[in-house]
Amino acid sequence: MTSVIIDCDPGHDDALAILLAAKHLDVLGITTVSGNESIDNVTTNALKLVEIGNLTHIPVVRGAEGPLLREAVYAPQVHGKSGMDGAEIPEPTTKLKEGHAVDFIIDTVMSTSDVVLLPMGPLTNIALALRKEPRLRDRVKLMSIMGGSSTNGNITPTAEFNIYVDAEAADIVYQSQIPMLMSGLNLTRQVLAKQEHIDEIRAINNPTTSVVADLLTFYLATSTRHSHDGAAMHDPCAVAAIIDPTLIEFEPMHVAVETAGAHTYGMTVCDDRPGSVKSKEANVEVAVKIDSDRFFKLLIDTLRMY
Amino acid sequence: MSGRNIFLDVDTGVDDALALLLAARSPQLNLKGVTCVAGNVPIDRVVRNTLDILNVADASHIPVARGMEFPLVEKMFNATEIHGENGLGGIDLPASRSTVIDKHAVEFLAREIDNTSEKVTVVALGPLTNIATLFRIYPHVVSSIEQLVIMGGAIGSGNTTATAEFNIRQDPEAADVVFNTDVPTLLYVWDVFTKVRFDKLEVDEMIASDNNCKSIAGKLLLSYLTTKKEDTAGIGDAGAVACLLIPEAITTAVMPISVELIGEHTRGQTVFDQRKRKLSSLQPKIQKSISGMTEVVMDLDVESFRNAFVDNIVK
Repeated sequence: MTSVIIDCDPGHDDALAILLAAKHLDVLGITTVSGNESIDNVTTNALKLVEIGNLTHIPVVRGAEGPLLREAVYAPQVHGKSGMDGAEIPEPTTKLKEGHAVDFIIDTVMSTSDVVLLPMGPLTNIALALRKEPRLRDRVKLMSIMGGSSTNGNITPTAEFNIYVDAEAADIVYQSQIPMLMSGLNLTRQVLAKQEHIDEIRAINNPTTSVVADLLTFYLATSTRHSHDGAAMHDPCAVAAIIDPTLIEFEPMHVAVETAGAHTYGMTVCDDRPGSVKSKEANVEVAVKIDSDRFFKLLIDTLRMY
Repeated sequence: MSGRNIFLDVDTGVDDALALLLAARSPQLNLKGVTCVAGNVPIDRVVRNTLDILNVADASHIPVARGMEFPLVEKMFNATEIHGENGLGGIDLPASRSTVIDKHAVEFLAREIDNTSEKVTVVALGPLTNIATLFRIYPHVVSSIEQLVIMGGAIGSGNTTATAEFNIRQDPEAADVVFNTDVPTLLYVWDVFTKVRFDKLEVDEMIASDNNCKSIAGKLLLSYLTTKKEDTAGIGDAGAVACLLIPEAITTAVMPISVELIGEHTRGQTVFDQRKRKLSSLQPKIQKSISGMTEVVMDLDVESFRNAFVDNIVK
């Protein structure tokens, strides 16, 4: 079973990603990072999730309180005030694991072989870990990240939220030379949860899925308010890429993170020009296409296991 | 003279040459002047090529003015790997006996626009240095421009860099001036620029034509087939002129546009806001990054464009 660390900022789609990962991968830990909401909120949300999924054996470790250089930006317009609005979940009693997420990532990767990192929020923790322990670069087997876009952005015309929030951190990570799969908006908007998916999940009728259905109902409503045709399954895509790589098609590209642009700050600049003009070596496998039906089958079948 | 009054601003260039042939020969268009700007090749070469190609089109009477020699800020770089050292894919045309007029392109444009009773259309096919300078020195001309058609920018990949198209990358500051000027603009982007193409058989057929314009057009296209080592050759800039002939054959979208000036990886990128609902309305600090709105050619009917090109250059 593949060993992974989930670095996240739950987040509705983070919630699904955690539940999806836990039944297929050996989740060594969940680290949190300021992103969709404040570090306090997303950390509480992560603890709630391990309780809802009966996953309290997975350590949850609190991470960076904000981006490397910039002020934090949150996404209440998508995830609500708590970062995970829409479901009545009791305050968690599970305790955090002591220590900082950055050290947990370093210690775990240095002591365990072939760890795969699954970053689903701003890349602050990962960048700090890479700077604090440069040997990580040779230890991490693979990263499957949710972030960026090879087409349009969401928070700006060109930038996706996770990268925009901490573009300097993203720049460090993208230049790390660690093998990287990137599930950007161009991909994740191909998997849109709709009312029928929520109905199917609710009908499973276990304690976990009723909460999931409530969360998805909220998330679908905010997505619809933003004129999207459904709730994009952003973070679960990055997990699915590890569980079943045959779901997704990738193209190798050179990807640079823009950190200086006035209109393009936080853009993942994907060079997908035909080979003859491509100027630099590919550093990222950019996910370009996903089988939406098979993805939802995997997700919903997994939720039946709770 | 009948037809729509147009001025062409060019950096000739193989596909500028095709655009000149099309504009000069189309009865629907009244080509009133051509201004030259440094771009694909240095300015003197642009002038030479422009005069010679107008001569081919039997249009030597059309005034040609020499314009800006360098971009406003950016260093000059040319595209001789695409257009050949002489800018016309190595094709030698008979030297025109005409010469450039004794006025700078920017002054010429301002005066001509002032002296034309009806509104005019300006088609800019190179870096926007002349047009930006025109708008800064003679801002009043803007109200006399019916439409500014620009070949430039990209929605998807660029050609000069991953995100930037050549004309805009060559003079991003000029593009910024132009896109921030309130003038009705139609943008013919790189994404559609590459769509209108002819294969080797069709190109050979053009070369064999009795019509000199068509034959020269064929030779120009053949140079693309050779230098780019592709199976088909595109008419490039000529497509921007064709938009005026067959507006019904294009699909457009009106979008906010800005030009990235300071990006490390994105300088010269045309940034379009294609999001369904603008998050910027929720986050005012992002709002200021959206300058003008422009009409962008998103798609075109390839067959109509191919026909419009071939039919009009023989007229």
